[in-house]
Amino acid sequence: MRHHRSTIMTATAVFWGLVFCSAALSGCSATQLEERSFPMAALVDDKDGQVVFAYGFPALSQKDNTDLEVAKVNVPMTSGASFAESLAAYEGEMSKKADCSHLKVLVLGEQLLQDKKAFNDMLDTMEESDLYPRNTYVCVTKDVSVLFETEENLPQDLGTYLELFLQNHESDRQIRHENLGKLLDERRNRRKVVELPCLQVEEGAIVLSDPVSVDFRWEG
Amino acid sequence: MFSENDQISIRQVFRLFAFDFIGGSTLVLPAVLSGLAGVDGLWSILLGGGIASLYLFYLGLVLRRIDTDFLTFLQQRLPVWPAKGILVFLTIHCVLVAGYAAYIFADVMKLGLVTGEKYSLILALILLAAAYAVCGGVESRARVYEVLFWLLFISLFLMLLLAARDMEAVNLTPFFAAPASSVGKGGCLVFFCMTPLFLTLFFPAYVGKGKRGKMVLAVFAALWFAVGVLAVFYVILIGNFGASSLAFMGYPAVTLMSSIELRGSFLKRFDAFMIGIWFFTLFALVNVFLFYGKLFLQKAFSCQTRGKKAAAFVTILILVYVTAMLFQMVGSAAVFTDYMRYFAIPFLVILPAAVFVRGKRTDSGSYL
Amino acid sequence: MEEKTRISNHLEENFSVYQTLFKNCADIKMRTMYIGQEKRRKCFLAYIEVAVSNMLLENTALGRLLAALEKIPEDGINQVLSDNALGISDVTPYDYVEDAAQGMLTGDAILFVDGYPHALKIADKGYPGMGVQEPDSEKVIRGSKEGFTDSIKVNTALIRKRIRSTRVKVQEIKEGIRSHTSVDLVYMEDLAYPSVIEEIKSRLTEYEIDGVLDSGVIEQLAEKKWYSPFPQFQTTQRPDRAAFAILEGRVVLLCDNSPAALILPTDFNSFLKTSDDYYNRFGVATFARILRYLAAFFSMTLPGLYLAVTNFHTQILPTPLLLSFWEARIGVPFPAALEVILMELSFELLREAGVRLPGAMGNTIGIVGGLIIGQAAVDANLVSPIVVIVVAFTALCSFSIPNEEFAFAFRLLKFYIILMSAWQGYFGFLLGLFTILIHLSRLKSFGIPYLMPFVGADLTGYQDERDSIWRAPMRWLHRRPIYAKRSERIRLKKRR
Repeated sequence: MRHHRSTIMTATAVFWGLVFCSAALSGCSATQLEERSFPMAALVDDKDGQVVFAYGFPALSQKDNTDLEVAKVNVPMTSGASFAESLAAYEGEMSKKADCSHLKVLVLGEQLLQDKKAFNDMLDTMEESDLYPRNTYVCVTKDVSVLFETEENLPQDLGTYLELFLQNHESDRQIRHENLGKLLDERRNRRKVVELPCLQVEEGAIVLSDPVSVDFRWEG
Repeated sequence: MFSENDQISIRQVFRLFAFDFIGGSTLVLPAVLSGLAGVDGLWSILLGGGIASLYLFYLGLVLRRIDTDFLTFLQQRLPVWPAKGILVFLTIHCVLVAGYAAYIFADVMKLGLVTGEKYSLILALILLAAAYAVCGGVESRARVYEVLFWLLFISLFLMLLLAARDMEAVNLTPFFAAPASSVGKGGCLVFFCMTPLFLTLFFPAYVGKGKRGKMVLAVFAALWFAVGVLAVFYVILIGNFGASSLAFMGYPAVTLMSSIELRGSFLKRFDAFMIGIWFFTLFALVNVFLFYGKLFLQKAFSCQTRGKKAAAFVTILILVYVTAMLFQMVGSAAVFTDYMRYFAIPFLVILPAAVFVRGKRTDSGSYL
Repeated sequence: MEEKTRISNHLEENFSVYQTLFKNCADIKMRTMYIGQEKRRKCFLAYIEVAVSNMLLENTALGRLLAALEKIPEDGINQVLSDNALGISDVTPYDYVEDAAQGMLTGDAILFVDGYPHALKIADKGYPGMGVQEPDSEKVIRGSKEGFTDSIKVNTALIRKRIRSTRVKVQEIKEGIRSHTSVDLVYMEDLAYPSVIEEIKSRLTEYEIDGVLDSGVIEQLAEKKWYSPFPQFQTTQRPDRAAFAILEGRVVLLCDNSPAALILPTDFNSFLKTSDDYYNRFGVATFARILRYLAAFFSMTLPGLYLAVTNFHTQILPTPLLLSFWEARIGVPFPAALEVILMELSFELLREAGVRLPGAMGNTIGIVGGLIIGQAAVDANLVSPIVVIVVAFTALCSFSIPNEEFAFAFRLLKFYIILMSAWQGYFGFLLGLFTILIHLSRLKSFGIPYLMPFVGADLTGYQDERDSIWRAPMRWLHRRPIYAKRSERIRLKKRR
């Protein structure tokens, strides 16, 4: 009986030892923190029938021995026939994996909203893949690349700046801006018109103009 | 001296059953009910609770009339082969339910916590941990859930309170718009999720003598606690997402947790931590059916020796693993719902009375 | 009211009653001798060993009395004793055996003389006092600063000093074939379960061993689940802690040559209590308890949580914090899991070195290791600063656990949680925590579930929960915990 029990215990110990060792040696399934990049803003627009896409990243310090160098992810906007294609092309250019769990703002171009097919296709992709957090702010602008260019003059990266901008506007006006989750929900529920804040660039500064309405109610 | 006797307290019975009811129901039901009945899914929940109460009342009546627990009664009063047949069916039922619960469990963990990991590995880890829990007997599991109960549910209630801020009144209307048949179907689905009630018949073996009445009351309290939690959950989900959107979601509870944000707090989001609630509740469901599956199989094949009992246990584990893998491959919800609707529920409703009547007929001082 | 036994003229009767009163009390000595000129008058002297140690010295009251009585004619002894002729102060006559026993328990010697219908208490208070040192672990702010010593007799006297009751029993067992080490079971006769005492005795005699040099040897041989990282015997170096345990109905095991007493049965909650929890007001005690529970939790889980959050669930952290973690990790050559494990092992090495090194060097190593080596490692980019903070905080948490053995369990299991979290993120963390919880739920200490009073509290009407993660006000703690016999659960009641 004791020999039987000690055999079982030895076998259990060996088994778990092998499991843990193999897990350790295989490097686990985790992507290390420094191997990721954290986009703060996603910009999607429609230009000449092509969906263009870019991420906005925060400026981070990269330590190289004792020197501090400013490191920024510099990947140009990509384009593709659909949002998924454009996104895949963009992520293919990146050296690090994009971790979108901290995405603050999704900026959509007006042209994209008018292209219903491309717009719905984008929302389908986001819904199925759970790509971005549901509490990501959604706003609209005339041309995303113009908005993107203002980032150089901003105190923070575009995503963080727009998030604070919209939160301040919410607390001033006692309103709540719609986020991606509400947009996706309303696409299904079709009970009301979704008002998305519209951003404009005036003399290098970002201002809010009249909101843009997105109405899913009449869609088939 | 105190607890070498595999006995659990009434408080532990309440908590065990509460965990069993809440785990699967809060995860799976909201989307289904929303698709069936929209806002009126709330009535489905109450209807399901009512049906489950009637079923529990019926089980309580059966229990009152037998002087032992159901398993002992089955073995002592029925002929050998019918008893074994029933035990085999009960084993299959436990394997299927445990397999389905394990499938949901592994699926939620994969979607919510370890996205890049293989489903089979997650499932294997879950079943190994469940096996370890089952080895400790019902006492050990009861203690674990007794300790965790308020920790988990206070966290859940706090999160629901935070989620309630984002409800929209427009999503909570209209009431009484769904057809009665849809509400009825929803009620039945709620009842399906409450079928761990059947295990009430086997619990007298684990509570002290003279505590059966209290035990049944504890199960009743657990049932309505679970119905209450489910109802509140449903209202909050509908209020946040809207009926149509809710119907499209896989696991709306997980989505709700990821939507809650506390500005200015130390942590940004709590979804990963809150998934822990379903970790423990689903574990309870897997554990309880694994435990009884093992027990029924051991009784069916008269496993007396330690080796045979271990072999039966390993067999059950493998069967549950395979079942969960199969559920992942096929359209699991429809298959499982059909099984419950056409086989399990009729059997579980008829069986207690049939066994009782048959057993009583032989009650002339002699056993067959 | 209990009936008292009047002291008889016949010494043998008194001796018999006294022996019954102190049955199974190995530390109570009853010495018979003969006094009077002809050395024919029999008497017996009862005392607690060690408490009355120098009785034969002439300059003690007892020594002078005995010396004087040896010179007196036999027929004059009674008169001398009655008249207190030698002018010894604080000599008290007793008419009843029970009163005499109570007098002896204050630390004095009691003299019974054949043919004399009273017993005399001769003041000679010899309880261990300043010779006893403060224990180096289990330090308290408020409460006694006495600790157990290596002498079992001193230790039992230290307990007797705190519980002056005839119901405290001390059963002696000899352990070790060659060492013949004395092991005392100290308990309250009307509180402790006889089955527990029998179980302890049975486990103590289960093995034959050459020598028992410390209570730790007994602990390891008597534990059922020896493979569990959690101790199933509670150790203490504090007599007040041991006395309190006895008053709860538990049993204290004292081992000669060991300053660590074993208390059993025990449970999870007991390891997180300190003596001054009961000496301080309930708000202070409750706050300290909650802090200790949190500390115990974080001492095991914090590094694992850090790994799970940074490698798998970055959405949990606020963005600025996450980005500062990201910046801190840049240039570190090791994966986060390895970094954490290396730092934890380094810290364990430092701790071990600090314990083994003598005196001032041990203190210095903490400063050298913590500040200089840690800082150098960060500057050399071998580890990130955040990991140093996590490891340091984890260490602080483990230091807050009052019991060293219990804290060690958390230190060990921390590595298990680290591995699980590194492997499967928060899922692995939960799995690890769950398996530990299952293990704890299966542990018992002499039949008491280890997770008392969080489980099974219905056995005591949920009263035990009043002294768990919080400590109720003293006047609400009416009942003894589950260890005491059911008929003796009330320990506090109002007189009026």
